[in-house]
Amino acid sequence: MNRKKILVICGTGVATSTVVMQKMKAFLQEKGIDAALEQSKVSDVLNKAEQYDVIVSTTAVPPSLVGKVINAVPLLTGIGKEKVFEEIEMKLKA
Amino acid sequence: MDLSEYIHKEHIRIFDGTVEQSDLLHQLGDVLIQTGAVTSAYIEAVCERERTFPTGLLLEEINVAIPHADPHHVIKPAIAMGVVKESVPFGNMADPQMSIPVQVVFLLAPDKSERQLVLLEQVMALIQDQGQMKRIMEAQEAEGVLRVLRRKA
Repeated sequence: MNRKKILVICGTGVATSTVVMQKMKAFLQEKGIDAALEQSKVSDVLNKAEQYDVIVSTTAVPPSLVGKVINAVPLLTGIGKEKVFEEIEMKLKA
Repeated sequence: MDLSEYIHKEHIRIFDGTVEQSDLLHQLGDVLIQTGAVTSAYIEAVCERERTFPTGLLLEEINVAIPHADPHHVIKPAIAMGVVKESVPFGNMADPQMSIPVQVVFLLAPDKSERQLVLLEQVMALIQDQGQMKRIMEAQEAEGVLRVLRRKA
């Protein structure tokens, strides 16, 4: 099985995406999922979105990416995070 | 370690009525400039970033915003906190077209990216506790807000 690639993005690629990176690391470890995690900012992702299996973002993304991206704000605030993790897990297992 | 390490009494502003977002950001920004935490360039960067990537977070009852910018222009780490009794509109981080009424604003000024992580995690832990957030809203003066922050330690 190919190792899945996950991209975590936010507006500037520094603050909120770093928090989400930590949450994702913990989640993958807990689930025993081996996947590559990368961090970036929204403006960098336009040309390379197809390289990733899952993109999670704390900020809004351009229309071309909408279907591909999972809203990660719940991972930040904790409200509704279970649903987001479920969605990520489903995409990783797809 | 708790948030009172970064939020001192002089960093807290309580707005009894409503306030314009840019007015609020500049008032909180002035607090950080006057306490020597940031230069005015930081506040300009924050306002600019807020227009493109708003930081409003929709929670269960009390919504918050976490305006911030890159750590350039930060001299020492601090957070200015605005408690707005009548709420102030911010764009929603997850959906910038959507405006949400925000009651507590944390203007973050981290001096390096590792600090950004620590500050954000502590703020996130606080806002998830809506009981504590309600007590913050009920506080009449800065000292009352600080008491809630210290209890959260």
